[in-house]
Amino acid sequence: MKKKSGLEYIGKFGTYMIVLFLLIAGCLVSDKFLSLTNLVNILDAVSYLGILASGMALVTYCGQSVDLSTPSTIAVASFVSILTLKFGMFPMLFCTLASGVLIGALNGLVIGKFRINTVVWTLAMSFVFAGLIRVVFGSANIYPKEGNVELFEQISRYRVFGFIPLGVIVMVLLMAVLHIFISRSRIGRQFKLVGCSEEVAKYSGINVLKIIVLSFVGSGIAAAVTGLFIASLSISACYNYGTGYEFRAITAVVLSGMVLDGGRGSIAGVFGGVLAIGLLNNIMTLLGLNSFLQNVVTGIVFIVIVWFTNYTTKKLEALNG
Amino acid sequence: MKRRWISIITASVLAVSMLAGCGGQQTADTAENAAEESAGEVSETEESGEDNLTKSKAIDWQSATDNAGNPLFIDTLIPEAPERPEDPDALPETDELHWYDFEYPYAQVEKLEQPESPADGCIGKKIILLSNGDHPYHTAYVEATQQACEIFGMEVEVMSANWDANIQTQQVDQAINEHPDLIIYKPVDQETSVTHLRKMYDAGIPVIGSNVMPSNEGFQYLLSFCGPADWDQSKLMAEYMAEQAGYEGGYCVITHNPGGSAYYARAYGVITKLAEIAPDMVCLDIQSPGTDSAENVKQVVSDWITKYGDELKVIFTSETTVQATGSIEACEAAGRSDILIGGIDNSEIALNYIQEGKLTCGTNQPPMQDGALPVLLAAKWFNGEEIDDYVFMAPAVINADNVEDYLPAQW
Amino acid sequence: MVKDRKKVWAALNARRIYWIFLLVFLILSIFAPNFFNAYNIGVILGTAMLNGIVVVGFTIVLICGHLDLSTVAIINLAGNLAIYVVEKTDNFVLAILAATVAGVLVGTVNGLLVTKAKINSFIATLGMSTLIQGLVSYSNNAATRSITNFAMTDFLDAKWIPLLPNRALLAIIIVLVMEIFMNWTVIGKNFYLVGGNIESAWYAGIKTDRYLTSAFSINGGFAALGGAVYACYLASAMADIGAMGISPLNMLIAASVLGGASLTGGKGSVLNSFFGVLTLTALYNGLTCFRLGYEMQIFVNGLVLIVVVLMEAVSLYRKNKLLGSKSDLLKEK
Repeated sequence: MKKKSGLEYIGKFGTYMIVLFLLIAGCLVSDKFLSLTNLVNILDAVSYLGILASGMALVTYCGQSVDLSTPSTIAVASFVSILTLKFGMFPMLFCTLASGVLIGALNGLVIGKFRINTVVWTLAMSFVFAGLIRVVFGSANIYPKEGNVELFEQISRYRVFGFIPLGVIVMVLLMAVLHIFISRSRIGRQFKLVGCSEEVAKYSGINVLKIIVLSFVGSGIAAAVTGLFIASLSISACYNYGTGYEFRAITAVVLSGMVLDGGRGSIAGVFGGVLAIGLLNNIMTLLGLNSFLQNVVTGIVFIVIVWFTNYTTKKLEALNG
Repeated sequence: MKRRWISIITASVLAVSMLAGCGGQQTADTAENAAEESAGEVSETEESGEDNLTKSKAIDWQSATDNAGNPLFIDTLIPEAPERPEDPDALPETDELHWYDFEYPYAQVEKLEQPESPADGCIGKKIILLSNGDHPYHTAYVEATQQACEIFGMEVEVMSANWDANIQTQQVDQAINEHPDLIIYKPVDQETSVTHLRKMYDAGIPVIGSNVMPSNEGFQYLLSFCGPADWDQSKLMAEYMAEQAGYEGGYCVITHNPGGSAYYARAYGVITKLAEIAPDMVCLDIQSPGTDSAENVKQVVSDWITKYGDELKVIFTSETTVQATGSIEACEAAGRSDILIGGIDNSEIALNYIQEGKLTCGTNQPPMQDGALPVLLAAKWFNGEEIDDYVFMAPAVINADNVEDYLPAQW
Repeated sequence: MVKDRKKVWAALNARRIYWIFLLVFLILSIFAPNFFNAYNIGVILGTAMLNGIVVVGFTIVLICGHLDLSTVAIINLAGNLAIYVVEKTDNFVLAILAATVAGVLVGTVNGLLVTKAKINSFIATLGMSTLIQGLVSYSNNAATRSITNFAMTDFLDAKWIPLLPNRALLAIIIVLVMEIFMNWTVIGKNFYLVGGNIESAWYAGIKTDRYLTSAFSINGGFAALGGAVYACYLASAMADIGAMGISPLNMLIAASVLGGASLTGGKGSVLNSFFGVLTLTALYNGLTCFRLGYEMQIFVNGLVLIVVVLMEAVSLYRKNKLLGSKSDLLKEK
């Protein structure tokens, strides 16, 4: 019995144990690690990733594996934000989010309705939008020329109370809202059921299509917000601004203890996964590890952690009978 | 079982018919081509050969300007390579000569026999530009190539490999297949270029290398090479930054994408120069966060600031869009306006930052002039003039004092 | 009548890649300048070599219902290893062998992670990919390795059979052998069973774990073989061929899906996937003939993929709808 509760504990708070471990490791590595600025830096460094991952987590949570169209959504959103800035701040925000909603809804509708494999469909969408951007804008950098550019720049630069970046606030708020939404609301619980078994969900009268569309819209919006922040940081838009983000987000989601089959894990766990990535990168740079060795370490840590979580859940299942 | 048979038969029939069809086509093609070519040659030499050459030579290219009104064809320099050390690898990485084979691949090359210039004028010649990929810099580059070709009355077609060596291999073959009069080749990869250049050489098509230096082995196949003096500009930047920093303090380097020639030139050009002129400056760290995400760069620089604190005085970036932005943001966030940041190239972002005083310096590597240069060489070659084995664009440092001269930005 | 039409449709769909290939090829032959001639066909076939060899193993993993994201990392590992061995020994055969063995080893580790540690293949291979790519880049500080021995280049570019460069011949032989292996041997057929329904395969006495692991090993082997031969052909190996361009992985997924493989397993064929690669290569080649930029190529690539996936999905959707209305009753006479 005792063993079981211990395993349950690991299953639930596994990521936070990694975070704790990394925090201790960090303290040992450098005396500057535990300074307030460094901790804020770590949060700041993963804030965009965190926003993106919380959206991706919705898709994973309801059993749709991963959304590979996010890099293109990020790029599209960054172009939309730069181009619509001249109409003012709020129209710009609206249009940027709308672009995310549209792409997400398209993904969700097709995948939910026709049961196409998510990886293939989102990859194809990624091709199409990446191609489209480059057909229209070429490979040039687009800079904001009209509108309130200074305010636009501030989106990624503004610090609440002078030291907490806006991106971090948005990430934490988004995760808190999503966590409560998923764990407390009626629709949120339907996410879990769809993630566990679409069949059962369907027969218990849940509109599966609606839930799937919602999850992809969530992912689209998250990607669009990420795109907005990236555009604001670079004060420009370019076709390659989302490159590589999809797999980083997947890594964070998986580290959180979510399984790609869906139904397991929580958004709070994603926060832990994102934190773990941020801490790991920070510690490795503080150690002065070469960029390529960082990849090697990340790969090993990733596999070991996933194997360990997997092992405990399997053990737990066995104990439960 | 039946299905399987059918599918295999369909497949093989398809393949066979495809091959057979092509075989027939080819013989017909070559025959036709031969006939056309001989006919064309006769008429050309008799009627317009001399005429075309005089016309071509009379073209006024010196007065051509880019979109900012600067001369399209700029001054070039031909650097002199020092003596090659016995074993460069045995020298320390901070020694300039350790990188001898990277910096001077054009030295000690015994060129293979190059195709003879037709010497009948550049007008009407067909050029294929094998571009390495899409990037704001290369967009401006290609525009200039097209503009320059128009000036010289040449026809240019562009194939872009999107940074993919496999696609460039295919495009090299396709370009050979179209029998252009000359190929301008921007390699995706320094070393992989050798096989490509060898193929084009064997096909008897003259090739002018551009933008990215091929390796030593590749230079023997080249008619000529022109491009930015990458090592020189990073050394020039290092000199300027060292002066600004008072020849002391620690510095960090952000590299370009791994694998390209810029990866070495822009990082180790700085490191070797500083080791030479400012021995008190210490290289604290070198990292490769890539050129795609300002966020990644920002994270690395933030970590550096945490780790090295006041030791860190100077940051060198290999690129000025993503990397300069990330570095500047990290320094601002940490309130470290005392850190000097120097970047290579002259994007619009860089020039804005220099004006605002956020970036200490950039370097002048104008894409339009870069793209126009190989066309000039090609035209000269078609006109039967001597061209150099390699020429480089003279680099320059852009700082707050002279930034006005470089506006508006080309990309 | 209705039933017949459905049968025809199903038959067409099963061989859709040939129709798509024919269509793409015909359109490009008619309209694209410099496309339809012997030299260019040789170019297309030759270019398909790398992805054509790699797609063999990739398809087998897909048939088993898994996805191997580490394929590109294995290609890079093999290329670098092969060039390294040639540098040291000047022996191409040894180099390619060594690289292939390394690939099989990595593939086996992948397979064990999936079967023994029970990690989702998507995640396990993603982790392995990061790990191996990091090692490869670290080993030579991300520089491209190169040799000055062009024996292999010349050999692979030579044409033993007119019009067909040897590198294409190599790919075609491998594909045909594996196609026969997958369809005519019990072992080969078992892969389909494992992918189609792993539980019933297990009940039928098939050692499913062994098949899954060997699928990953086969993929590792062919990815490495392709990578090594390609590196020897180019006389150089980049640290990461997918770093800046579109990753070969996307091409592999697109080609196998066009060829009828599905990510849920049990479907697909090596030969069809190879034709998928040929189709995409011809498409890229043709679009370059039109002087259309790379942006158009990914765009068209995406569109083709979307159309095919949608077509399949809609037909499946309709079939499922029918299933809901007790279509099995209709079958009873």
